[in-house]
Amino acid sequence: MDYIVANFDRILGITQRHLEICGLSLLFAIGLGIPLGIIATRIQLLQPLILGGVALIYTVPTLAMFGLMIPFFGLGLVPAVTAVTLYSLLPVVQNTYTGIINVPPPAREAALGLGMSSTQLLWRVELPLSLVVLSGGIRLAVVNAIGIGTLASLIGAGGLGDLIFRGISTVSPTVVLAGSIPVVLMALAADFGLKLLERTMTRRLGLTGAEAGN
Amino acid sequence: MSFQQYFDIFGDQIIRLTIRHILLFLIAFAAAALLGVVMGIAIYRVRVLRFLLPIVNILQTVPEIVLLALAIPFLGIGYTGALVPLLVKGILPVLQNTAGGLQSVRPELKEAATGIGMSKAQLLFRVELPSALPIILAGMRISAIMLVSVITLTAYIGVESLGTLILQGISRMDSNPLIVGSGLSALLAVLVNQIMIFLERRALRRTGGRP
Repeated sequence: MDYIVANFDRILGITQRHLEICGLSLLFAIGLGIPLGIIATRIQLLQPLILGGVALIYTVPTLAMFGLMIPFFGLGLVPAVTAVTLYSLLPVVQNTYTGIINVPPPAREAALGLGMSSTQLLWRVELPLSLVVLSGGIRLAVVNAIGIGTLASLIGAGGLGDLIFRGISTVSPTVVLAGSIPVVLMALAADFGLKLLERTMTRRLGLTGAEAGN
Repeated sequence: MSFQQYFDIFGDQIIRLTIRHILLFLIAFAAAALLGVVMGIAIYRVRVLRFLLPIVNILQTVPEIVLLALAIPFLGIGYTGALVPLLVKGILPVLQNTAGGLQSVRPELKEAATGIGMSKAQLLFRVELPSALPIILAGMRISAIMLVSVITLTAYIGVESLGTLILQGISRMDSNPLIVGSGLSALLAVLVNQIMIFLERRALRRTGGRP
């Protein structure tokens, strides 16, 4: 406990670094994942390639992924953010796809009957109706990224993994706790907060979100 | 050192670590699958145990490395320290999907089974479990992929696996063990995933695609 009190500022700094890594990765994953998911619904030929590809990436063990980054990107922030981004793609892409595919056909037909273009259909009908499923995917991605972000420390990018791994190698439970507590708290807070957001959205939109697994 | 030289010298070690990795996976997965199904059935049947489900949800969000690190003060470094967190993490998706799968079995099916005079045990083994099988297998797949991945991490607390090669590669900045360790563990994960997908499809075909 003394360790945590004495090093509070440092732990706070490391936590901030952790948030930077996860935040950047999630930004990329969402910015890349939603368009990929949309493309998968639009171009039949690319659908198995995109969905299969992100699923394949997700299967690679985390330590192996971070290790494989080194020959390509060296050490530091770039390989760490790349690895976390790659892992966060699956829930975002998968749920964007599932959300749009599950839009009730009558809604789509009505929109087309009104003379909407394909772009209007996407922005005004398909995306709003799949918002709940999509945000479920983003929640999974956020919770995952906070956990996987700990491994960024192994390739010299810093973050809370620094404390956890140092705690393991020096066999000091307090240091492990100093790194673990913020990770767990952030993951739980993100899970809870985003679930709450999903629930309000569901109620607002009067929708029932079909749960999409990861 | 060229890749060829590396392989000639460390070939035995690579094979040994691969076998270790697979054995550790099989033990952890078999135990997690069995315990997960049993606990899932218990939660489904005994209503009082439902309070466990939110706890399971919370445990799901705890990162694997945190669980491994936190187990050290209690269980020490080595196999016990690694296997218990592996089991805890591996059981969760199986338990969730078993309880959820059993709940989603169509009521008509259960009524029909009770109507023709099946006992509770017969209902469970002949109707409920076979109907929920695709969902249970999906949980087992999540668990299996996760276990292959977490076993590489246990190298950090002194358990030999393909992760040992990856850590060697990172600490010595040597791409040979790095690529061999990462490549083999990734290959193993993809293989396990494919096997589980195959089993799921077969189970789905048998239930006609409906739970």
